[in-house]
Amino acid sequence: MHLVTLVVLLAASAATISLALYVFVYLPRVAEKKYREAMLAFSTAVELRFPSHRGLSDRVSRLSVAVGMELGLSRKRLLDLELAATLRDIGLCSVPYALMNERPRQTWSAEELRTYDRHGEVSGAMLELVPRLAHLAPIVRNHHTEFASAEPVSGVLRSQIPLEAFILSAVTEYVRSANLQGQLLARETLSMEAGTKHDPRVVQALLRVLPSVRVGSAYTEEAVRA
Amino acid sequence: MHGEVSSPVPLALLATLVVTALGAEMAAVGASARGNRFALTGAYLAAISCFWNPVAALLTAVAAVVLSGSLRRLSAGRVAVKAGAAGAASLVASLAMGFLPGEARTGESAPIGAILFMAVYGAVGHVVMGLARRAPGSWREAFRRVSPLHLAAYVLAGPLVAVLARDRLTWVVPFTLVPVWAFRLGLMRRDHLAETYYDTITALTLMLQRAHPYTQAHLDRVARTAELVAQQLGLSERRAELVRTAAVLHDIGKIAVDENVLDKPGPLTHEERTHVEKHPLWGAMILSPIQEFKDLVPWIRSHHERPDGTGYPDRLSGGAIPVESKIIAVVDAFDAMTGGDRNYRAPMSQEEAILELKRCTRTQFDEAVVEAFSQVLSEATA
Repeated sequence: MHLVTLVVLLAASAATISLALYVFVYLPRVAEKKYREAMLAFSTAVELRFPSHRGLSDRVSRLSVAVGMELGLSRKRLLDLELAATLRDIGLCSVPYALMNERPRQTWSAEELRTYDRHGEVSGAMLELVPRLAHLAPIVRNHHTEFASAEPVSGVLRSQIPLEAFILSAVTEYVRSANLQGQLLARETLSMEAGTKHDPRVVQALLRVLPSVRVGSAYTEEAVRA
Repeated sequence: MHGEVSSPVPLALLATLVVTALGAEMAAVGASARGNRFALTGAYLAAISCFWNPVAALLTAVAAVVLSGSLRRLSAGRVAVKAGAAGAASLVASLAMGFLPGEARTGESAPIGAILFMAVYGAVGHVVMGLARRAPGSWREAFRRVSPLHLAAYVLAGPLVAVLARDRLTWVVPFTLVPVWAFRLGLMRRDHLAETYYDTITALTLMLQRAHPYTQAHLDRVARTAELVAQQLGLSERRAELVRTAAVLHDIGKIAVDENVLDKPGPLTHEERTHVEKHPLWGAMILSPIQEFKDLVPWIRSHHERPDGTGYPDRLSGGAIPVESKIIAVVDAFDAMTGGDRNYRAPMSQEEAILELKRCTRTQFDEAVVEAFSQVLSEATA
């Protein structure tokens, strides 16, 4: 084989290997970094509008990913779950500022409660307008759908609701409840609502991961990267 | 040393080159919003033209485009235009090769001939497509997107196929499609990644729109005009585009502002004013985690600063305020004055608003920016 041919073949082989590393190693890392930056921006926006949500997104994201891992979701689905956890409340921007920040929920009228309850639907509708986030809409839209009501009564078939939505539902409820009444009572409430309000598989997974997950630690991020 | 190869070229090699050329055309990826595509088909056409004949290269170019267009379900008209451009490009590239010595086509320097063929083929193809679509500038857009990755692929693919054809390594030729398809995947994933940037902007503006529904049209107008003013002031094209993005996002901090305060008719209390005046700071906080927005963050933070130092949030003055912030401030104020923003004030006419801007130069607005804005406005209304 001629020397020039050999050099060109070697250069082409090196270029192909570099290209493969670029496509399969470098670009996915950059993509994940960009997603995480965007997630931080979205959660900052929601937390600035509603200071009572400060830290909530982060805790829900980490715990949701831990539950997703326990349930054997793929890496891609875990990243989507984390993104959906961050974006689930972007529809809260349509809830009046004063309602969320200046009046306790117990004083809300039925109409105000309905406005709040629509935020999942609004978040879903907003995501549908963003091509690369539209696939998260069904998760976000149903992140407050009750497991038992997700049957013909509500018009939404349970099988059509992604597992990720039920994970978000249970985790959000647990984190909120733990903030209000402490972790022990929150776990007890969660167990009682398995099969009615929450997917029993998710509740079992959540109860299994809770002892090993310090919510707010870097556990899940490291675990996802592993 | 290899001289010009004069032994007959095996039919199997020629057939393989034609088939791989078709495969390479299938791996083309979009190079511009106007439909120009970037492919490495030229590498195979160069070898066909040099080792067989230019007519075979021309027919292969046309066949590849027709096949690819049919598979992508393009209209017959579009396929015809693309095929014509590919055929013309192949012909011109082959003619250009005629000026080279035989040694540079099929001999020792065949790699150089292949690079020349690909360069001419790519350039002529894009220019002909631009002319055919009556969008002669579209080739500039395509060439602007040429990155080191494109150049590396171009410089490698042509010589690779040329030496394989010259040395009659027929069996290796199909393997050249591996890097070609990896290259395609790389470009597609990179473009996909770039779209994340726009998705983030869209999602954030949707959040703002939900919180304050009146702002979207205002943002669109301010963004468009701010870019024109940036160009008028001599900022680079890239910087002007960033100004446009910053203008779209300049009020993103208002997500955290109480809409009752923002829409309050009449003067604000001290507490309310303090609340509203935090929005540039909050905008910077929201955008600062995103690396791609790092240039925009200071502009957004400072878009309510004033040359006389009485603005907010940092009370910067004169030259300490980025020109991009000054542009947004002027365009934003003009749009608000002419009725685009606050619906409780009687909107001013454009002439009145310009006079008001000029009255406030040196105190509230930058003189040069107001001047550039006036020119943009007069050109737009001329």
